[in-house]
Amino acid sequence: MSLLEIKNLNVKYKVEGKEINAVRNISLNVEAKDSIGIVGESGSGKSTLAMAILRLLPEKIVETTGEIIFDGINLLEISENKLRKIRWKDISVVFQKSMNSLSPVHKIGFQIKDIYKVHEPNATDEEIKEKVLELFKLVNLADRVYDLYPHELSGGMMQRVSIALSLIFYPKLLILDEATTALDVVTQGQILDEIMKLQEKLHLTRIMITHDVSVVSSTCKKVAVMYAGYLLEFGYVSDVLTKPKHPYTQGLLKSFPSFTGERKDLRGIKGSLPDLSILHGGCIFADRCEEATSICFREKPKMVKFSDSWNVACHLVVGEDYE
Amino acid sequence: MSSLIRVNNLVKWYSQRSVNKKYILGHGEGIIKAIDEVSFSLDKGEILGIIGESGCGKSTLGRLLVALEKPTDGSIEFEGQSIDNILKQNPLQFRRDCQMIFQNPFDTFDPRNSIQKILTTALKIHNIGASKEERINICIKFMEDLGIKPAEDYLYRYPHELSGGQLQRISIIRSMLLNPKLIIADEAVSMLDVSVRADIINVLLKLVKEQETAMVFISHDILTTHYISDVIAVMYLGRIVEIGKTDDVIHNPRHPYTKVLISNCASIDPLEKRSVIKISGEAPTPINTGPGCFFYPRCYRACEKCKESYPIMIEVGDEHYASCFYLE
Repeated sequence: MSLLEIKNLNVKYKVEGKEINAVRNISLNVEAKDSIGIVGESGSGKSTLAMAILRLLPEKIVETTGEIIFDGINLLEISENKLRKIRWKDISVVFQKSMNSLSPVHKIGFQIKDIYKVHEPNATDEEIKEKVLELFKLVNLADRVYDLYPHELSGGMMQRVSIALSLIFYPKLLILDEATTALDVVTQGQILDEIMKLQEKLHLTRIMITHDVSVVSSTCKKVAVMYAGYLLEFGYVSDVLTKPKHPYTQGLLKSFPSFTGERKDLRGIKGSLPDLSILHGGCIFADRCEEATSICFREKPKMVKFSDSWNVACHLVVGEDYE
Repeated sequence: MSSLIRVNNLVKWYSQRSVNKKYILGHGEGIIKAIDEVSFSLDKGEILGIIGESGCGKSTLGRLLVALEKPTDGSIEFEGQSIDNILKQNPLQFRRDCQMIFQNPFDTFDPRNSIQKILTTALKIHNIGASKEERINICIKFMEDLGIKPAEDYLYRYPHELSGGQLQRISIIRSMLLNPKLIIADEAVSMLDVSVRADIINVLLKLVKEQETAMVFISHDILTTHYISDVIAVMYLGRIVEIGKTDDVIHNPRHPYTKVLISNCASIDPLEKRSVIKISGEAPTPINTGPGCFFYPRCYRACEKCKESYPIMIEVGDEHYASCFYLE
């Protein structure tokens, strides 16, 4: 059974009389204990998707349609009060800049205690401290961090605090929004390693949002490729990243310099992201696609099943391989 | 053959303010050794990549090379003359020969100036081109060469009307307009999206090859640096711990820190199995570093000897140097 099911999700920002389609018609299935990486360039709607799952987007300027079914409940329909019970307890997030999400004027311990009491108002201070220190051990933090202020910690330690904070209720679903992007390679390696171990231990389901394909390839089971609000390709990492079907995925992988062997030519994708406030008739990637034919400009490609767990949205893939 | 730029035992220290004593903000005892005895030389048309974690002094080194900072000790020789002398005699010529590309193109330009003004001002200061029209023509030629077409459309736009990739191209054009001999690219492509990044790198490489410009490419991205540079220097806490030809350093790293860095660099190929060397701890700050090897608290091979003195740089291969006690 799938833990999270996203059906035809659309997110629209209404700003200054313009409508910006940040997420377009995305359907995604997340099974329990899966690890899914969502990759895409900046402005492709990755973060919007994550925020929409938790309904954290400002409701005045955002219009969300579709269904987000988590554990049998449609998150878009339930009341704010019920949602508050699910947020953080069942679904939690680690944001990119933990230094911005922690309060600079309160001690780490106080902040964690504060959040814990929202869901467990009757817990005593000692209980919480015991639990938090246990979590600190899981993420390799020293006990003394409990009584420190955020500015006394390094970037890697702060990110660990954020991860510990997100795990305090042992959530079913953990969303990591660019959680390791701001860190150095060595620290990033350490933290990714710890996250993988935690996933085993706590039976987490994990969604990882990043623009770094190498992070996804080394830590996730499945990958979803997003471009300008559309989901273009979804499947197992071992399939998608080795034999990409969609021209955009192919282009994206070619833009990464490789380590092994000869230094082969690095190729970028010509052009830049389309204006999201204008509705596009055909395939969203057609303007930059080298293999685009006339049908690509006329009709939107449908998401087709290429194999059991491999979905691609491209006209060319249907023509060649799909019967 | 004499080299274009030669750096001898360059040192840059910053003094740390003491904040412990209440109300007294003076120069305290803490010394931050941002750059500590760095030496290397660079030939005409050569590309040097500098990699390292944040806080290791990469950017400070870049700023020292274009004389945006004054070194505490040591010297930089540019075409056989010390930078101090050149700056006294002909500062304008030096600024023309050494150019810099910064990380964030949105911060580089004055938001009130149009692209045309941004580009022609550089030419005007250096007295290139007789009239305004001539200068604009030079700019247009350059822009079209670099794939900003049609250039006339862009000349009268303002920086905020361009995308990050386009603006970084303008930034590259501005630094290459004057035909410099040395370019410092400080994290020049880190801000950009991967699909755009590859294009910009190729543009930069093409220009550098055409004009035979030497380049110092500063980045924390090992894969990109590997692609671009001829020579790679690995920095740790203000010192170069390993320097050598790119392929030697990447495929046959000798210093433990280089090994750690490279093994931690994830590949995009999910089938590739690599052994990652794990180290614990965070990069310490370069304040009052001890007498021993700076890397020994985190090093997986550290012994007593490493604690006592800093290993000297030894040659481990053809133009390949590293400083570690364990190099046979």
